[in-house]
Amino acid sequence: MIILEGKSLCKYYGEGENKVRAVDNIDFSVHKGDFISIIGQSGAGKSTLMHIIGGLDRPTSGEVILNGTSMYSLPDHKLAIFRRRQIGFVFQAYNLIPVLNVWENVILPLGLDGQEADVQYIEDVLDTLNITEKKGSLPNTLSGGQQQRVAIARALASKPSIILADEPTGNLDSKTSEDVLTMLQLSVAKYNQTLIIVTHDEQIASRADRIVRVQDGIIVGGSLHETHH
Amino acid sequence: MKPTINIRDIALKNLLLNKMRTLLMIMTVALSVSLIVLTLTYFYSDDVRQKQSAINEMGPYHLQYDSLTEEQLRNIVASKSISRSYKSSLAREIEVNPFSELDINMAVLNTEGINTGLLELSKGRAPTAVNEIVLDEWVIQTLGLPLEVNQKIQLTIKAHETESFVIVGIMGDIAVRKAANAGLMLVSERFIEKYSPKYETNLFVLLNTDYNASQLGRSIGEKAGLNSKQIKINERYTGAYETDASTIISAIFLLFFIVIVAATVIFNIFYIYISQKIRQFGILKAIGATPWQLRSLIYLEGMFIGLLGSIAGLMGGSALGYLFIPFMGNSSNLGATLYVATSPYILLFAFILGVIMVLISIGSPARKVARISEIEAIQYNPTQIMTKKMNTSKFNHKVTMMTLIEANFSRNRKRTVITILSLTLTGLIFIVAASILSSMNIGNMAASMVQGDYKLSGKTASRTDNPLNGSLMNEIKNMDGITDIHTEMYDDLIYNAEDATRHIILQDQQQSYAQVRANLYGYNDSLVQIALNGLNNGTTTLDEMRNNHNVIALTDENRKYKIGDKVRVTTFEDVGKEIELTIVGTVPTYITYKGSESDGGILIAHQNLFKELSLDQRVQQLSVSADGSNKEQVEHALKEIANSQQHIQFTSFEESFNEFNTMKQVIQTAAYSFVAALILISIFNLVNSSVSSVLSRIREISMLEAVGLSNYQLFRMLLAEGLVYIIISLGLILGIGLPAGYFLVQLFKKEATYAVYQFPILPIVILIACYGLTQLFVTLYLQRMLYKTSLIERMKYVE
Repeated sequence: MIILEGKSLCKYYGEGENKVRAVDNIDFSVHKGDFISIIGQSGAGKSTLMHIIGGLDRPTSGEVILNGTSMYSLPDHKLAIFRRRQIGFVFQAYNLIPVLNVWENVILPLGLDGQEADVQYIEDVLDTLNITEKKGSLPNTLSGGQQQRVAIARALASKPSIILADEPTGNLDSKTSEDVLTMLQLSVAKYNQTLIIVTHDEQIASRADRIVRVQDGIIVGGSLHETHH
Repeated sequence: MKPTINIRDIALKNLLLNKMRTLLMIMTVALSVSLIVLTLTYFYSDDVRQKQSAINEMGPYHLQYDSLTEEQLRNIVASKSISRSYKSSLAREIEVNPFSELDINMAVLNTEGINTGLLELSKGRAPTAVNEIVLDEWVIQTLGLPLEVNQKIQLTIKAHETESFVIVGIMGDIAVRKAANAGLMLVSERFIEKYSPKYETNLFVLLNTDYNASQLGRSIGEKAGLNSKQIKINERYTGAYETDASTIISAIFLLFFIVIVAATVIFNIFYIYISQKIRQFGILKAIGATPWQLRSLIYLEGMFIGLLGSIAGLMGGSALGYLFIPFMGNSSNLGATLYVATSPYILLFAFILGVIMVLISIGSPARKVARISEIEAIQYNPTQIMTKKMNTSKFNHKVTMMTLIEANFSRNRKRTVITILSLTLTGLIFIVAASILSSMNIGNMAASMVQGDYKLSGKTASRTDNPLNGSLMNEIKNMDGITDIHTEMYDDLIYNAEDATRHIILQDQQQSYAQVRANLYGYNDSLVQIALNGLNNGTTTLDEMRNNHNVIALTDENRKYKIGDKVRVTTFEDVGKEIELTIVGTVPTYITYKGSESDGGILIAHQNLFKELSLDQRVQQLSVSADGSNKEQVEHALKEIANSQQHIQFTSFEESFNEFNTMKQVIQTAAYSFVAALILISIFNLVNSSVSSVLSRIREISMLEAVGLSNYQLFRMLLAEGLVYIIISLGLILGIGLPAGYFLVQLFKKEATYAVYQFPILPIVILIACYGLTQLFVTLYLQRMLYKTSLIERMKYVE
């Protein structure tokens, strides 16, 4: 079942000779439960592609359809609401809210949506990610790996359709990276989530069911159209 | 664990975890709301006092209609614009002893409204029987009687036998009436019928509205057929109740400054806060916060700060009011004590203003947050360059401390500009206020009251009294140690109507120019010489003053003269004969303060003119100077004279000086405290700017330390960064504030001629010290705070 589709996505910066084609006419489709990694060198356009998929950056042209909704046809405020219900993000720099403790950071997307958390589910997620004991701690008291696990829990909290992770282990050492990735994969599988990871690391990319190579804004290897399963 | 979290929770957490910023903002709001409450309470208390004194002195009525016929009375009472009216009967041609013998000008009156609206007795009741009376407290004391009701008193009413009367009521003293020896005897209707059947019917009237009351009262009178002399406006009451534009402007001006200063600071604190936390807002937006939710977050934080600050401000302002206002009131020349009058409307207004001020100040930062781009925000680095115009094309061979400082300022020019703006704004108010306050010359003020060291003034009730007579003058002249004697005579003149229109602006537009009265003072040689030394226009000599019809005029906004102007006047004794006087000079009032004056203003002549025109040649005032060693002796002797004679009053220069000095100190304390609070607000801003500038660069500073920045260099760098704000602000403050202060003193001189511009050197030093020390302490604090954590930890610092 296709849950995410991109049609003729383009993102250009600048004009004339200075025109940069960060994403150049990319089409893709993603099925429910897919684990896809997008790999490419620095500046290849992979992060821009992920931002567009995540509803964070409007494309110059083309459309992204998630669960049947063309995201960029929504006005900004509706897009924000759509995003918080449908997409979970994991960033390289964890991006936790420093004034909120772990629990509050995790349930924040639900709070912003005016919803109450499914306490049992969240406890379970924290347990899966092995951070239950840190529930009451502030982010600055946690290690990098722990902070990233909180960010993963936050991404899972609202049971979104898709999880997007942008270099999720970029700030971590190899041992911690391994742990975090394992847990991310484990949780995604456990809660039957769809996961797209952006990375420049071949080893990490290789853990995915599908690898898509991006260079100069176009797909040069793999395909975003293959069907998993 | 709570199952949900909302925007309000995040706002509260933000406030609690950024304690210093929250506290600074709450204190800023609290201080400004305190100042707003204090300012408004002062104006309100003063207004209440004015109204209360007006009621106490004259009674709560807008105007009185005199000598009414039955028909006029009926017509007036029928007017719908009248809220209350009190009919009274004045026994005009009646002489009561012992009052006349005691020089008390006694008005004998029967009136309605005693203890029922017009006049409140301090004791007792209104007279009803023919032998019942009510007297002033001071009159009873002058008669040597106890202040008790129902005591008997023997009075002789002219053309009647001495009879026994009963004092059934006592009126509290009214300072102005007492000073003028003007008593009031309230009597019954039957008393009037018996002793003064040709009484005059008057009506005291309180109108429905205070607005334009004088005009309305006049038109009611005119419609009822009264002439202008029959209509007497109670200026004291209408003046107190009519909204005074200048008071409103002063209040608005002060409020405006408080709000502008506080709003700038609150804006800056929020602006810096948002610039620093832009990443956090970006994350919130990325994980689903709508622009509206982000804006609400900022507004909620503002609302908490506004509410807490305003509540603290209301309490602080009220407390300050109770401490300060009675103290301020003592400096007033109104006489009546200034009690703190509070109104719930003031508190409500200040509270709402405090909250609105915060919400408006954070409007722009809140909009900025709502517009944040998630991508930019997430990638945002707090140390990144916020200024587009930064010069990156320079490639110096050497990086100095100044390079780093300069780079830091260019990084966030808006913050730099706002911090400098708020320091400059408050500093400007301080320097301007200081210029005006330093210009208040107490010596001039006291000298306008007493020329020389001591002054004796005659209080004369009739034209025949002459307390400062020749023999007394000789006695004083013969005292040891007297170096100078100045004498003053006084008489009134009637201004020629045509000349009056040319030189005089009448305050009361209804008044006619036909009978404008001018006050003429006659000076002896030495006093004329002092006046000549103080001329601000014209040159003339003592001889010219002695031998010609030359006068010196006191000029102000309403009386204007040019040198050489001729004015025609007549004396009251010989109304038919006009005398032409030549204006040969003008002087500021501090050369000779005369207290109340007639509409035609004050003219000064040599005493020879008084002789020539046969004016009143009694000496009214006498000032002496004494040499140092005999001063005490002279003072003692003069005081003796004043104590032994009821109609002579003693004043010393020193006492006047001290009195004015106390008054100046009170004004100074109040003004400086007010400005100090504003400066404190701008210091909060300086502290916040410096602290947040360092907090946002913890990693960067640690990197600098890692590559070799020494402790001392770091201290110098942080101190210099703050000092740049201060130096630029001081440059602006002095560059604009000093000329503005000088200009305002020149304006102030028009109102207060005793003012002399003085360079406010001490206030400048204090201002520099205040700003400089603050920056020094903040730098020391920041460096200590940095060193609490190890260099490695700081280099790894992530918020």
